[in-house]
Amino acid sequence: MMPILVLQGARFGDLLQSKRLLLTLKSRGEVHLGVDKSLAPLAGSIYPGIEIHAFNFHVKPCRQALEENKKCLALWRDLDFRAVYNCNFSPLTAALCRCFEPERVFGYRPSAGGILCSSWVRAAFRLSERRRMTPLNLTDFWGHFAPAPLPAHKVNPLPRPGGQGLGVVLAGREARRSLPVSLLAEIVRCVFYALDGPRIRLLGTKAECPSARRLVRLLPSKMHRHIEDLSGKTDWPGLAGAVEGLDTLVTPDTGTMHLGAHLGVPVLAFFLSSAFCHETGPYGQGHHVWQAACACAPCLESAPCRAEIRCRKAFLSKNFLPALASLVEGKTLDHRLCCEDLQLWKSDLDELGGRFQLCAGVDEHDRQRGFLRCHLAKLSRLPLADSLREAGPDPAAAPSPEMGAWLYRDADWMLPPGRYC
Amino acid sequence: MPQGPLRILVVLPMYGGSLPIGRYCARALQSMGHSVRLFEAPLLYPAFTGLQRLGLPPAAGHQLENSFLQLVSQSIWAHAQALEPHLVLALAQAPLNRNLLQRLRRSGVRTAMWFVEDYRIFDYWRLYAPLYDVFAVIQKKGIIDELARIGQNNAFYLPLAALPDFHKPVRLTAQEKREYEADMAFLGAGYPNRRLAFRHLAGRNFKIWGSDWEGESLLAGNIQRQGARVSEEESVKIYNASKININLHSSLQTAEIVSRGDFVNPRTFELAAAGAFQLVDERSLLGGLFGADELATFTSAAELYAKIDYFSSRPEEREAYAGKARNRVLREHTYAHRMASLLDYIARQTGPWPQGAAKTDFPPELGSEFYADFERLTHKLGLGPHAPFEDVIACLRRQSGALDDLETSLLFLDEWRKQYLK
Repeated sequence: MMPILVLQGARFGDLLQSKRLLLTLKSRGEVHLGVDKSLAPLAGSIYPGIEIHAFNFHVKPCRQALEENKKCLALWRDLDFRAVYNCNFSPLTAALCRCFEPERVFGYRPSAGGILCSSWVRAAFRLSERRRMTPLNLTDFWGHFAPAPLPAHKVNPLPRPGGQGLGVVLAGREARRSLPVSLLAEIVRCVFYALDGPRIRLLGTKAECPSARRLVRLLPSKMHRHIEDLSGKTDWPGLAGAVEGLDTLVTPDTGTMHLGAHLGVPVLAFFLSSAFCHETGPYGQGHHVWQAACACAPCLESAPCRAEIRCRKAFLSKNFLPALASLVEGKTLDHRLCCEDLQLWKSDLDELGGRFQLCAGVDEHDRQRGFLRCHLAKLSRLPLADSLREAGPDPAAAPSPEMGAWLYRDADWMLPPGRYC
Repeated sequence: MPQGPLRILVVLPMYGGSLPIGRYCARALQSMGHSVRLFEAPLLYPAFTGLQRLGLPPAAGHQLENSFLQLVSQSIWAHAQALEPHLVLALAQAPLNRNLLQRLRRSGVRTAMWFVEDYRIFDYWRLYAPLYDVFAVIQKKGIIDELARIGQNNAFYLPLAALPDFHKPVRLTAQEKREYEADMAFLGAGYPNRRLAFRHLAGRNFKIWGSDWEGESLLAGNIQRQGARVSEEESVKIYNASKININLHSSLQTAEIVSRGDFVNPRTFELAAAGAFQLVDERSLLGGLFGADELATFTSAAELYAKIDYFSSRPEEREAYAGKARNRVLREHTYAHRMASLLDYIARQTGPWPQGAAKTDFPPELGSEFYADFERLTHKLGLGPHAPFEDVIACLRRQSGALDDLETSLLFLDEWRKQYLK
């Protein structure tokens, strides 16, 4: 049978969040994956059995890169792919897809006028207009590019402590989405004591080396002997080795967080600013995310913050650290955190894929999110099993007229539903 | 029943499975004597596909798509203004947007939707259902309550049907026999449960007709015309030419090939009306429509295969089932029956139809000796026996080729009256 190509031209985290799609397609035949050259070694180790094609997406244009890309394209043409899954709403991958028959390209399809979207992509884009209600994890967004994707529980292993201590991801690519080092120090200290003093691995790129040094300075000296600062010292295999087997990974929304979920490491994440656990939270059953939930969150990554990153303040509540300690120690949590701008979520799975269940805090959009999951399941033609019905108080109930007008458009009803536009 | 003929505008969807059903409804309503106009939305569909092929930027394409649908709605409104219908009947996915439905309601035109789709598949009906005066559905459990919850209290169960003038026993030519005859046949799209069920029958004298069978290599020898679509006319010939017609309702699941759903598909009625023998999978609403001695059913793949073997060698039993099923359809399950039920229900829920609606404007110049000829003509034109004179004239104007004496006389009379009497 002719092979399938998946194009994932985005970053580290996106490569891991394409896992459900890639494993689904791999179960159906030979799969090739086109990724940025810098990620090719990592892609090879994450996806054994999938042919990796290193492509120069994110380097400055130069003659050598162009020659390499041309060779890659020639190889793709020879392979005669029966389907090409383009994961990115990007002119770069759209340009590459022009070498295939348009009807063989799924997800984002190039056309003379621009990038056309599948009905699934359009539905997801529509949900992103009201992000606070969105219930769709990015792993499932890509996973459902293929019909009847692999069951969600087959994507990542169940998280289990591996005896290798505590991992701390110092920061993400976007500084605003990470906690300040002073607050991170408080969290690390709290988790360290709650876990009875494990080894600590600090993880990050070279850019985070100063943060690592500052963090160490802020931690009590008796903790220092437990700390191994790996910031700037790991390549991709080194990073995977450092994450594998950890007992807990403390992290903002990062690619390393998804690597942890991929390796079955229990994730304890802190989401703020534009990071939103319902979109990009760790995939699997049993990870935890502390989510800033002030009125302006989740915000737009590309827009400047005009509120002095007030979402950070949610983590300064006096009840936060005791609640965090209770969570890590496995004690019962008070559902009221005494901080209305903070929520604690636990990851779970259902027929549609990854979802989060509220453990503490208040969620005003529970009902809508439950309804939207049912709506998405119908779009994916999934049977509405009990677990999905449990996603909200009454997800089968009719949406409000205003919500109905938002979700259901004349064109969806009257024109062919499977069209690209 | 309405006292006189009604003016009814039937709005067809632009494409899809409910399109032929809309046409059958129109024909049934005409045969009942009503004055029916079809809004031929499929005529506008090429404009939509043309828009898609223009290669416009997606943002502009979306905007034009919406503008296109506005245009379609305006065309329906123009039709409604010209016809002043007593009823606008829409089939699932008909392009009546919410503004138009509200406008029709304000104008006092009654509207009905026959939603001939599985309500569980998509939710879009939620947005439109409350805006129709009556919402007819092919399922019972769940949907009626759900409609009431969103404000549609005039919802009722109206199962599918057949059109006996069209779905009927036909004599096939020798060439047609060569083309269509088979021990077993299936007509429909290649849904996962069907693919799975039919692989067991590969290699037998089994013809599969219809689309979406791509990649089904094991059945490649059974799939006819590489999975090309089959016209409604050809469908009737296929039904008539097959000893055993397999009728397996579609399902996306493959755990069980028999999905044991509720609604009964149109093919069940069409096959029965055609006098063809069918093996149909059990549905929860089937028992209310046919008796156990009228349709041979199965509840599993094993039972399907066993019954194929059993009935293959028993032509008399096949004939007995087929005959009884046909009689039942003719007695209770024609589109005329359904349309009569629908009109009655609308009158019960929204008030009686106007007395002497669409009063026949039969010109007094035509003596009674013309009546019989006139009736024959209306029949020939596919209009009801009580079709208004103006409908007959409109229909004659659309005819191509030379008209006969009566037809020409009537056209002349109409022009004559316009000149001297109006």
